[in-house]
Amino acid sequence: MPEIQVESTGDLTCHRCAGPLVLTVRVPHSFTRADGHVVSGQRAVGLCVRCDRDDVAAAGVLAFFTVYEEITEDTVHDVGPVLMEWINHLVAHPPACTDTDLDEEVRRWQAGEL
Amino acid sequence: MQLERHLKIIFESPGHRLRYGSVASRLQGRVVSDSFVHLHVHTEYSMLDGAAKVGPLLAEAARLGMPAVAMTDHGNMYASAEFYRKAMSAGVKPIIGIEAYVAPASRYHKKPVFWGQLHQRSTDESGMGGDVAGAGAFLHMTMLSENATGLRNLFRLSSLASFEGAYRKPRMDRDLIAQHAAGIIATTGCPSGEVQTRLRLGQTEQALQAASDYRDIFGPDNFFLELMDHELPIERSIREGLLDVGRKLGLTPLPTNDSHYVTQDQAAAHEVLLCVQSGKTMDDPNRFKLEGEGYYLKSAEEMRGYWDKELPGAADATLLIAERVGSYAEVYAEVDRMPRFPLAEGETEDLLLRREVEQYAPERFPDGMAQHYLDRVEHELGVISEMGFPGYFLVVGDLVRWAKRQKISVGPGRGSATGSLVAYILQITDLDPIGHSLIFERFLNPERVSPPDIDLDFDERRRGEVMQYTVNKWGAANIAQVITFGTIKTKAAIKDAARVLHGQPGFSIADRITKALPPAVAAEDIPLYGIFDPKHPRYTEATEVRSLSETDPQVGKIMDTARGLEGLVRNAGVHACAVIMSSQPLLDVIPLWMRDDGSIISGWDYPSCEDIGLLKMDFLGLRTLTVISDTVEAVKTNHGREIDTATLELDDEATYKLLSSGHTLGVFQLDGAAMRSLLRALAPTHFGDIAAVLALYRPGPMAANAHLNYAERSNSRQAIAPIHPELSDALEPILGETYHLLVYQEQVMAIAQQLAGYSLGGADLLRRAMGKKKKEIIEKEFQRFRDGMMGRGFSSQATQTLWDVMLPFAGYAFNKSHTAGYGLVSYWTAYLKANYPTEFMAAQLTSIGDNKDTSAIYLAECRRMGIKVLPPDVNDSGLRFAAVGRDVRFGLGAVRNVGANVVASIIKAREAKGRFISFTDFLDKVDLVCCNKRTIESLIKAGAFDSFGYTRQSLIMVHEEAVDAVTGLKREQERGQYDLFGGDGSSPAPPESSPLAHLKFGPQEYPRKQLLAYEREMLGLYVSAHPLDGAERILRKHAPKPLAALMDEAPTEGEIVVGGMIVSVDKRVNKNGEPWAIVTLEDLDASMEVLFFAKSYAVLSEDLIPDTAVAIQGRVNWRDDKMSVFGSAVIPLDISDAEKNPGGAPPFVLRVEASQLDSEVAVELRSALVANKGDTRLHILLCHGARKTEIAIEDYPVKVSSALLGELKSIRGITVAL
Repeated sequence: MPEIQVESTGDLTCHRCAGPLVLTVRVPHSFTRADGHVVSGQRAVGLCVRCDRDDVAAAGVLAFFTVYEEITEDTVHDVGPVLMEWINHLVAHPPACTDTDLDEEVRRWQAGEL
Repeated sequence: MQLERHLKIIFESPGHRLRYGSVASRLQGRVVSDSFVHLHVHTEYSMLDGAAKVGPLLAEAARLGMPAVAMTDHGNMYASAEFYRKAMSAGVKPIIGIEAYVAPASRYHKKPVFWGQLHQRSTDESGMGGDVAGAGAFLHMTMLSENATGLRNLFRLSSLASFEGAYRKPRMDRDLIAQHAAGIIATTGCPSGEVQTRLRLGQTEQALQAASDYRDIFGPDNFFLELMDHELPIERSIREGLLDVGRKLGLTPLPTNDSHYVTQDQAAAHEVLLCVQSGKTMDDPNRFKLEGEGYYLKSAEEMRGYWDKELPGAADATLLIAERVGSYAEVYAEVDRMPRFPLAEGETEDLLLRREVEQYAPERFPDGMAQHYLDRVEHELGVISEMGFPGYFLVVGDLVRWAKRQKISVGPGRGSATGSLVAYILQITDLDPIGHSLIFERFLNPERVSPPDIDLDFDERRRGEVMQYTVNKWGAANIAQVITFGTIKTKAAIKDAARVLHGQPGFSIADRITKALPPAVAAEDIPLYGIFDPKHPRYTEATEVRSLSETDPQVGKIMDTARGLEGLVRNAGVHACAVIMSSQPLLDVIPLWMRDDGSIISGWDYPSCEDIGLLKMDFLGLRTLTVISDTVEAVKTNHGREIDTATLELDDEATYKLLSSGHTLGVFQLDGAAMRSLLRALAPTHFGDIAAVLALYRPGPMAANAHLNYAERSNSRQAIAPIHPELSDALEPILGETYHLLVYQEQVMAIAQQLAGYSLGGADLLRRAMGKKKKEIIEKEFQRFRDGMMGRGFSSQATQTLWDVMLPFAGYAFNKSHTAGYGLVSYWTAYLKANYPTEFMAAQLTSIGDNKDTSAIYLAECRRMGIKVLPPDVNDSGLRFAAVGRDVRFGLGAVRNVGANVVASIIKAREAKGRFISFTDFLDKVDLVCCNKRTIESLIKAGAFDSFGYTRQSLIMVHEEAVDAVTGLKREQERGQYDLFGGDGSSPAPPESSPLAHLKFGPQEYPRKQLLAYEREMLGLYVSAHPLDGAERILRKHAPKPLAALMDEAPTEGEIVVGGMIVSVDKRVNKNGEPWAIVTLEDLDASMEVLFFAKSYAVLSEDLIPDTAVAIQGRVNWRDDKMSVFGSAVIPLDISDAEKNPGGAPPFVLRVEASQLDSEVAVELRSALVANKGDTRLHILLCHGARKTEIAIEDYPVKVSSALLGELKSIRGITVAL
């Protein structure tokens, strides 16, 4: 398992809805250039109570933060499994903007629909 | 005569059924017919109000069989030249007039005036429904010129209205009109006229008095009662009152139609035009529109159909007026109006010109002129005299020599004027035309009489002084700048139509349509009609937009509407450089316009001014000349060398080396990426190469690969093949310098002269004919050319081959006189960059001013050249960038919130009281004007106090307190009460009595990132360092090309990866309420926008953080010649190493296989590293299967050498990572 950084303190704001994030994780990420070169690094993913409520894999983490305000030594064992479940899902199915998504948004932008 | 064809003489019988008896009596049994003449007509020069283009308007009048037609634009006579010219061509008699704005009181009274009660004021925008129109600013009056005198009076009135009466509109008043009423026929005007306004307000007596006054001013035969009917209640409600005024005063009624467009079907387009004017949409119930209908050029039948019933005989008055209007020919006649050079008694301009040539020739030719030079001078003087232009050369020569005496940098010549030896001798140009094979006839052709045109380039900053000299020399009344008319072009018409039809959402629809347009050719879009006309040459290119228009009804409607707007005049502007000069006051010659800034502008475009003999000159401000001036001045200051660019030899080795390297950023006309690449291929070795690349680097020659062929031939990589073997020797003197490639127009002329026996004037005509590609003319010329060549013994085949090469070339050939002149400026700038790089780059940075994008490019060029750009410094900076040793120092004027007055004050203080030795010393010495918290904060953040040794953070922490402490005392000091600190200013620490004595400056400093962010905030650029310094390798690893290179090489589409620092994230919300963002990405040389739409933003927003280095994947997007990217993926880049070691060399990275690492390997490795100790940082890339970790090793910096590499090779499991 590659290194995953989790941050759950500080001023974490969701850029989508401007509400609070419960945490952010930095996960490995890559994309492939047209010439085949793979650009790899880490990217940040935030978990937002409002924006991610439909994400089944995140339900455990969201539930944890509903009960607890933060991760402490006492609760780390509780949050560990649900966090791993979400992160595993995240790594297996990283949120991405697909070509189809971009095609559609570019079309709508050019049509003035945005 | 036109009129006679339409008029028939009848005698009015006394018993005719006239309700208004005086019509018959006033007509006095004169002309009446079934025709009609429109006397109230707006053209498109009633800007954004009239939709009638002049040509179609006159064509319609002719089609309707009207003998004459008037033009009466709102408050201006800009159309009067075009209208006259086109009317004469169309065979329709022009009646030139104006719908004047008349001040309700004095023209000098610039406040609203109302004549009625409050409740009588109109609420509609035109003001036509109630009190004085224009919200109390003006009334209307229709005025027509009866003859040339009247026309000139209308020019004067319209001009003086603009000079003296401008209040919302240019207004004349009764006094002014009375002074210039001769030759003018006037009417009571539209419902916004004075008489009608009084009647509407119920002020019958005042109405009668006003009409009576105007009758007296214009004369009883020249003042008419204007009647209109557009089915407006307001028109009809006052008609009886108006007729009653007429009866009492004996005024003739005159029916008109307030024509604003040509044909009835243009009404909808006109409504849209009014919405464009008022910024409204068609859906807006309160939009400005003309009430009623029929504002077009109605037929005589339509006009008479109404008026012959309503007021029998009244329409005949329009014909009578038309008949009375005389010729305006003398106003439009071409007369020599060139400024007259003061002459001594008995002297002529010819003699004076000859005397000046004799006077100045020794300055150009100290050893005298060779015979062929003397012959050339005689020839030129003869042609100049014969064509009547000696005065022109005297005027221009005087001007240029004056500028040069004032040390104002003047261009060496542009355009064909460089071909004149007389111009060279008179110092108008700086290039010996014989030495560069330039032909005089390309400039002045005795076989084609047209005025000479010398465009002059001046130091941009001092162009105003030259203009002022001209005004002083020839009189302000005789000089004007030149008007230009902005028209609604293709894209603007689409955008306007879309906005008017759909409001704000229309912009994005318009954007979609304009994106579907074919690309512009020579900056011109395809006209809208061309999209739909199969005969238009660009029709086939417009398939996409045509299809869009045909399949999408919304687009179709916009396109239809746009076609009604396209090409109409939108606004008047001022030509960037043209000036009109006259021997007599312009007020007596043409209409004029005074802008808000007081400048006087001609009311006609410059070709119309030239048509009547006025002199037009172009005074261009050339930024490059400012750069040259500044560089020359700095070289004098720093090196003690005075450079006179005009006398520079053209053989400087360093200059050609620079040109051949392609490092020509900032070199005039040679700094584009593709041009730099051409220079590298060509490796210029002499001045001719510079002139040639300027001529060849254009679409025509490039399409024929001529530029590359020239480069290949000049470097012997391609054989020099003559156009035809038989012509090799004959063409050698003409084409030898360009390796037997045709490059210049002058070569075509020389071939015609030397091989086919043309005169040079005839050769110029041949060149023009070839360029115009008219088949019958070309066939005729070919016959002459062939006869000439064959008569000189050349074969038919050689003649044909030569002709076949010349013919297509002539269409895109360029003028050598121009490229040689401009090539000289290129050489000068290259010379300065090659020999005085620091001074040159400082001047370049100064000239760019606030253009941060371009500044960034030049800062990058400084970095490439090894020139350090230093932050501003309160002790060492002036207002502008300056060369300091091998560095360039930022000017204080470039710091945000620091104005020129503050800089002047700082400089004055340090000059008067000595250099500042500390922050407190600075506060002590400078004036109160500098002691402003915001100014001081800006200077701190920009680094202007760095040289004192304090950290910027410590200064920021104390600056407010310090400023507070000194300002009160400084005020008292300014009143002369006491010295601020009582010290002698020699110690950095203020004396204990000082209010600043207690200030403590700590050692703490902002993190580098923040320090640089502040610097960027204050200077617009990173200067002392760049956050990406040292990170180039990391960026290039992921994004192979820098942003500037990407934009230079211009991929038109496809996926790319860009790398850089996020400098801003501009968050937006789309129509669905979803957030998206425009991210500005910057690298060391350039910046670019990346658009993250809602879906990509939702996924990637966490990584779109300002001041973060990232690699972004996305798609290329071009819009309005600007490249951006639609982002789809982002990866933050770790540049922390670069931040720790900015500008340092990248670390030396050793790849270590963990499985091979044991104590033996460790010992060997340490031994090798210790033995090769140096300054390069060492990193270990520890690899274990697929996993890799890079670790910095602090204790073993190394010297990378072959010895180290050799030792490492022998160690098991160790390799050098690439």
